[in-house]
Amino acid sequence: MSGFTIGEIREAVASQIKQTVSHDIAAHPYWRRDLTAGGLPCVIVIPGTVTYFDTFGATGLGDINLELLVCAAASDDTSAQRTLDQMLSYGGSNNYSVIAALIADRTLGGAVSDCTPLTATYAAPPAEPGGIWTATVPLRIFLRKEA
Amino acid sequence: MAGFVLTDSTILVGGIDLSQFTGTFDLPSSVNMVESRVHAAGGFLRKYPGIRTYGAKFSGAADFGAGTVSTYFTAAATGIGAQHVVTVAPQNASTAGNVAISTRTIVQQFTPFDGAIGDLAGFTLNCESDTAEVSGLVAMPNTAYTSTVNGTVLAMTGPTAAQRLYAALHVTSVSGTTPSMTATVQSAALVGFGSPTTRGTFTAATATGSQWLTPVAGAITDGFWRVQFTISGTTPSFTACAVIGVL
Repeated sequence: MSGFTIGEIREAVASQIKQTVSHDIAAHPYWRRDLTAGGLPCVIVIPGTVTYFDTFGATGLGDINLELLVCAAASDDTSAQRTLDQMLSYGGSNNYSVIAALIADRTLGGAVSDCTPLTATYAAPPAEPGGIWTATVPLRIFLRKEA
Repeated sequence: MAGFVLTDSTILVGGIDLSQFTGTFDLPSSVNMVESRVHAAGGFLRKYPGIRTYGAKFSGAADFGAGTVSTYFTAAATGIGAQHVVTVAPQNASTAGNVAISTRTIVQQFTPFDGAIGDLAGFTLNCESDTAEVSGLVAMPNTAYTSTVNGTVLAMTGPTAAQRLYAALHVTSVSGTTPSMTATVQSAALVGFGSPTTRGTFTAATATGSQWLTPVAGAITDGFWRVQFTISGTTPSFTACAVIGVL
């Protein structure tokens, strides 16, 4: 572990998804406004609340709440939704799953103590036909500030 | 001391530094109230303070790694029923002179992990004192020591005839070949510490653990105190902390 380095943790999340999911999914550690330019489907890592002291001391435990924005699009809405469903499914022989990719190594290659997706929330359908379908997956990541 | 936010507290229980695992601590103290029903009390129940007792309760993140909280307190020798010195320094024990509360306890209850799905796995530890609890000062900061060293001289009023000097020692890691560390508590009348008097000596430490010095009766009029670590062995290293106080 490299300590409480937010950028490295975002990159570790994106890297694990990219390397573990069999299909071609773009995983961006940083927010990008133009989603389609980076390729779809994609996952974007967005940081939320950071807690520096879950336990005491310089080597104590902290946590970072990240949100994965999972995006899919296709020429028809049904195909886009199927892609999104596959990305958010877990179990079976689904090798498209972003969730399974994260659970495969909850330490993100040793970057954190634990990282577990517990829920996913689908957003409302896009306003335009052929638009981007999205869902969010909150991730609470625990790690020690100094390893 | 002005108000402060707890972020860097040092928590030592026996031979383990619990700080990095602990998120909550509580140090309740109480006195057993003894009732006296007498006719001359004007119709009121009289109460007298009886025996005092102290507790030390901790909870936080479970961890089963080597030398971590859940491993340490599930071991037969160091788990429930074991006697440990407890020290809590609310700011930290990294600086000599910081406030620290110490007592000697028995591990009364330990839950190695608890929680529901999605929770951070937690632990709870309850210790109950079997002697006094003293609010003292960090005399030897909680860090690694590799050779004989004198601690910072602390200004502290010595015990009166009705008081006693208390001292606590924690050793949380030991390495080297035949390492040994003997801690002594010394006092002097002058800050220069020209001719110190040894007031108490701990048993030589050769492994992790904690010790509670046999209380030293007053009166001791010296106003300056320090702890000395005498270290021997081949490439010895001790991570240790000592606290002194008067009650």
